Order: sequence, then C-alpha cells, then structure tokens
Amino acid sequence: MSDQMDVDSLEATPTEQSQQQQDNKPKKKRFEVKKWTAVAFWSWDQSNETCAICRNHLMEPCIDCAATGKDRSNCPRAVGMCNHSFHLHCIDTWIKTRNSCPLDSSDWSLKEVIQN
Amino acid sequence: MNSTEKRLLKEYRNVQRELHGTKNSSLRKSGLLELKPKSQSDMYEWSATIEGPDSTPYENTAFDLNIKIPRSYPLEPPEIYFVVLSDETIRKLQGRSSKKDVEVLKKAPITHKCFKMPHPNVNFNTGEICLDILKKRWSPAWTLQSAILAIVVLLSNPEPSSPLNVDLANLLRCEDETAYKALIRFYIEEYSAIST
Repeated sequence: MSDQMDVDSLEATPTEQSQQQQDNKPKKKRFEVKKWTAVAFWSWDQSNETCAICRNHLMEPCIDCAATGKDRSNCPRAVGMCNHSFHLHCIDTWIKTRNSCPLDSSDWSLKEVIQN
Repeated sequence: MNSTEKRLLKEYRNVQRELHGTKNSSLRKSGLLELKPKSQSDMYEWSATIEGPDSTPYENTAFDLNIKIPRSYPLEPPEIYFVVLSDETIRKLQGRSSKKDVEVLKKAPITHKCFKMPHPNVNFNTGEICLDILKKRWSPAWTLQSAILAIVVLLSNPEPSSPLNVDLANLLRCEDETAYKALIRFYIEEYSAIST
C-alpha cells in the first residue's frame, strides 16, 4: 500500500509544478544542453577472444570447420567454469588427452555451450 | 591441408611478422633470433636459433634448436632438442676460419654459435631438454614461439632438482656459482664456431 501511495504522490508533484510554472508565465531557462556526448563501454562476455587451441577467433568457426566450409552456426563455443572459452570441437579433442583447461591448467568443467 | 598444418602456417606467419616485420623486434630482444621450418616442403621439421640471456654464462652466444612436430600437434607437444654436433664436426667448423677471425669476432656482439649445450637440464651429448611444459604440463595454448621462449628462460633459471647434466647440477646444488659459471664458459669457448 505505502508503495502505491509513494508512486501516486511522485506522479502528482510534477503536474503540480508544471501547473505552477504555467501560472507564473514561462521562466527563463537556467541552462540549455547544447551538446551531449554519450560514452559507452563494452567488453566480450568471455576472458579470451581467440580459441587457444586452434588460434581462430571464437566468433569464427574452428580451424576444422573452416577447412570443410561449414559456417559458424555448426561450431558452438564452450565456456568452462574458469571462464575460458574455446570452440567446443577443439576442447573436446583436447580433454581426451588431459582433462584440464589449456589456459590455466585447472580441472576442466563445462559451464555452458553458446551457439554462434 | 589439415588443421595441424593450418595452425603451423598461422604460427609461421605470426613469428615471421614479429621477427622481421619491425626494426626493433621485441621477440629478438627476448632472445629468439629465428624460428622457421627447415624446408618449404615439410611443415613438421623446424629449426630455431636463440641467444643466451644477458648476465648469464650463455650471453653473446647463439644456440641452434631442432623441433620435431607430431602429427597431432597442438594436442601433443613438439619435440625440441638443442643441436649437438660431434667434437670432430665442431673442429672442422672451427678450422674453416682462422684463429685471428675468431678472436675478432669474439669481441663483437653475438659472435659465435655453440654446438654443445652445457646446462643442468640439458643432456650434454644428445641435447635433450628436461622442461615440464614440453612433457607432462604441455597445453595446446602453448605455441612453438612460447615454448622456445620458455627454453630461453630455462637458461637463466636452471632447475638442479631434475638434472640431465649431473655435474653442472651438483655445482649448482653446492652453490658454487663461480665454478658453475666458469665450467659453462669453458665448454662454450671450447665448442663454439663462428655463426654462419
């Protein structure tokens, strides 16, 4: 209930103010925004952007898929619990040799598979 | 072209660009002088030349390495050996240049190439290297370039607890640094020839 009351009063205030402003004739603007530049930062949601096993970019298919002309939708990337990512095809062949992350040699466990 | 060859080609392009693309290559400064396949027809046999790190007994000396790459690379590590020549072959190489030339060149930077490797973790007769990342701790994230740089680092950070050269490792364990450095220097002077 109290939440709703707050919302009501918040909505009421601006209308009251604007009514007051209209009553007192338009005031001189205190400042005017002439130019506004927005700056945004972004980063990949993964700690590495190339696959350390085949050295291809993770947004591209792995070296094998690229060779056979498959597109990237058939080549998902795998993210481990350590947040390192590789092509699923690449990490699958490596963990047959040793079940560790190639980048930090911690035990490899799969966190998620992302379809490109 | 299979995926191993594709990756090797990628590594080759990168390393050549870094070595020869810029005037002051940081790769050269860190001790890697050359890294390339021995012939254009075979991607599975490479050779490398490194320079001994400064303020070690290996400074101002070049060493050659042979690299054999397995068909399953990068899932399997490359086999990397120091090039070791027989005493006879080294004498022949040394004989080609007069003694005076050797003396002159010894004073210039990076003068000679040594064809034996006196190091606690390198077999003196075969050039075999004991380095964990080339055996059990190999990961496909390593490249030929980073593996060779790891060997350069091994030259300044010997590990006497797993020796392939017991004599040098013992000197290091006894903390007789003077004898250790002097013995390495002796071998280097003895088995070096002017690099061609």
